[in-house]
Amino acid sequence: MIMMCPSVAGTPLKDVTIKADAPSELLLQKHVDYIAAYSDKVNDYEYVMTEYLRMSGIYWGITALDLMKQLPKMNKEEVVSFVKSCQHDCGGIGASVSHDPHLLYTLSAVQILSIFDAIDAIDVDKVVEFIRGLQQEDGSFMGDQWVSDICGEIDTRFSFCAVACLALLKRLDVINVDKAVEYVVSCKNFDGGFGVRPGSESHSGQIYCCVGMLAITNSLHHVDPDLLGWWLCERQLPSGGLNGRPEKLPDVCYSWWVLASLKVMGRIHWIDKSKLERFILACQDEETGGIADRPGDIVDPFHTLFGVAGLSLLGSYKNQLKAVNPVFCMPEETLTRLGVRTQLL
Amino acid sequence: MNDDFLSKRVVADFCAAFRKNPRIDEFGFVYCPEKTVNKSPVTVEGNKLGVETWCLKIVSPFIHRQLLSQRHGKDKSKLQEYSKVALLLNPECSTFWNIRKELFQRKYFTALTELKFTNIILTCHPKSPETYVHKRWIVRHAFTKQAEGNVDNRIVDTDEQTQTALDTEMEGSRVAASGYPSNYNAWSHRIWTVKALARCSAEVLESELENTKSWVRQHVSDHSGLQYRQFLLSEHRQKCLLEEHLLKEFQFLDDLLISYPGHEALWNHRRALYHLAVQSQEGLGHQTEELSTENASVKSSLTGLEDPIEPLGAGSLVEENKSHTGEGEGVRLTSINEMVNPLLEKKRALAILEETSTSDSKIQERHYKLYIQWLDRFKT
Repeated sequence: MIMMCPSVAGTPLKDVTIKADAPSELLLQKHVDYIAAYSDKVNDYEYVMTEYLRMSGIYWGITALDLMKQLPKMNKEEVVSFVKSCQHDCGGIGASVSHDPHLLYTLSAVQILSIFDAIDAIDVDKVVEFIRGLQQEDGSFMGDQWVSDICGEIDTRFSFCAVACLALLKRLDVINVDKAVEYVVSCKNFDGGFGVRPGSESHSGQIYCCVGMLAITNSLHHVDPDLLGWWLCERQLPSGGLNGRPEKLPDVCYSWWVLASLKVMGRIHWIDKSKLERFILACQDEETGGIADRPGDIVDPFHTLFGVAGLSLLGSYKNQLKAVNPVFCMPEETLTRLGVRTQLL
Repeated sequence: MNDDFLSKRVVADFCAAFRKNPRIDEFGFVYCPEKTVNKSPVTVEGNKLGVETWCLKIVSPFIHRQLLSQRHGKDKSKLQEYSKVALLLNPECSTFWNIRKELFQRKYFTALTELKFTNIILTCHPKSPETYVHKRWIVRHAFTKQAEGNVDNRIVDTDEQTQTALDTEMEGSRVAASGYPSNYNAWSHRIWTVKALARCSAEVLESELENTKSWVRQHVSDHSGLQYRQFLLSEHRQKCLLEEHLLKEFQFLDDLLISYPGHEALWNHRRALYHLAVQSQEGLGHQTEELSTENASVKSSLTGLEDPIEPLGAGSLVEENKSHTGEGEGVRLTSINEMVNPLLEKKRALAILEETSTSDSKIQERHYKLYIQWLDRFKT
């Protein structure tokens, strides 16, 4: 429920109000049922319209279930077979069958297979080659490429996707890591945050990607954790929720990206944890299960994952939720199994 | 009416609408959950194109399946028509945009036509990330032919077409910025366009500072719009010109802070201006951040031992001993040298607080205190 909360003399503060009867406990079983049933909606209009991001959608669902210790609810063989069918000759992986390869979905695919311990279902060497070919001279990464002499889209999210994917595959050596780091650092702003490209506005999502990228490459000394930590904890609003930028409404997904960034920088205690927990719990839907961006809105798998992951990172419901890795947004035990480590301040 | 027949009819109606009304500049959904009269769901009023929502559940999946299954077929005209409709309805499908890239390379439409088409999409989907991605691909392909981030800019065409492309992109991002608050994608695309198509020429930087001034005044919560002005200022190569603009921007901001108290975006803008002023004075100019040294990392780990005020967010007021002198005269910035004097800057910030009307002073005070703390912690 979005409300403008008038402060003194009607100056609007952009925030939500949590109703007294909002959910205040974790409705874990409801979320499990919601995710498990999501793929049954295969002819649902919304399902068709989101086919373009299906691989990421599956990653969100699988990770949420695994964090809630219910991964067996997913049909592993079916999912692995689907992922395999989305790999193209160039090595890149698309969001769904007949969708073009892209770095975003390549990462999601590798994350899914890592959680299922089935990475050999795809041609790993070709994935590595696909990613390697996306790095530019200045260290940046394209998301895909359509004409060989015309550069594709550059975005710091892709820097994160590239190194995260290669780290999971233990093949970081194939790219120029120093140059990759140099490019991300060139996107650092005066406020300590990071934008999509050099000179662009600081944005919590991009910050998560850049801080995560620097953690994977053991380059966190380029971050000013106090300066950036300050900006990040200013994202917390009176409702307890976190927003992505100044004067935006709180959103559960920012609760993950901001929180995870603070965790990586060793400043998670700069956030009021109990208020954030209250906010996330209030975003649950008691009837349908699942979590929405803010209280009272419609739920979706994306916000369900980040709400559950946020609670795990806060240390809430420890006996019901697995520990989550703040860089990869995957269960810690998966990364331990793979032997993948990242820097943390 | 059979679903497939309806869908084909709707696509045909869309194409007819574009043919009969080449000046269509806006698209939208007309909320209509059930078909009520026996006529096409596609409507045109003036230059505005609309489609009634009752047909979407049938038409969208049909077009989607057609495009993916017939992508490599021979009927490229059909792909042209279908992809146009598909993207108006769902612009996030990057594979559909890739189909249009292939059609573009086969010269089914020009770059300018395609840029205008993307602007129509933005009137309905102002945030659409993939629409901006496609715009940039078209511009790179048709106008700049250079790698992203290429510092030694090759010569960009200066002919009429490039100017039209620049105007089209500015118009599209302007409309989209007004269509959604703090539209990150619209403004970051505008930054990209100024770099790629105008090469941050002094002329464009000046005109953009002028053009966006009244927009920002009408959208004081819009952090993206304000950050765009920070970008424009930071691109100035000449120190004297930069400082002249900074002075004007501080004066502009002073007025906004008093007229619109308690806006985090405005106070954050002040942090940026202060930073730019200090940087300019230190002669750092337009340089990318130097890679941190070991000393810097030692420094930050030491300061990390002192946590900031508890916690900043959650509406808690910052408590601190007021260090102001209480002089409170309206200390407005009148010279460039005053810009980077931290004591004077604190006095100016206090003057703004004291000029704020009593009813709004509490919320203004919170932001004032945060600003002073931020200056103390990071700028002195």
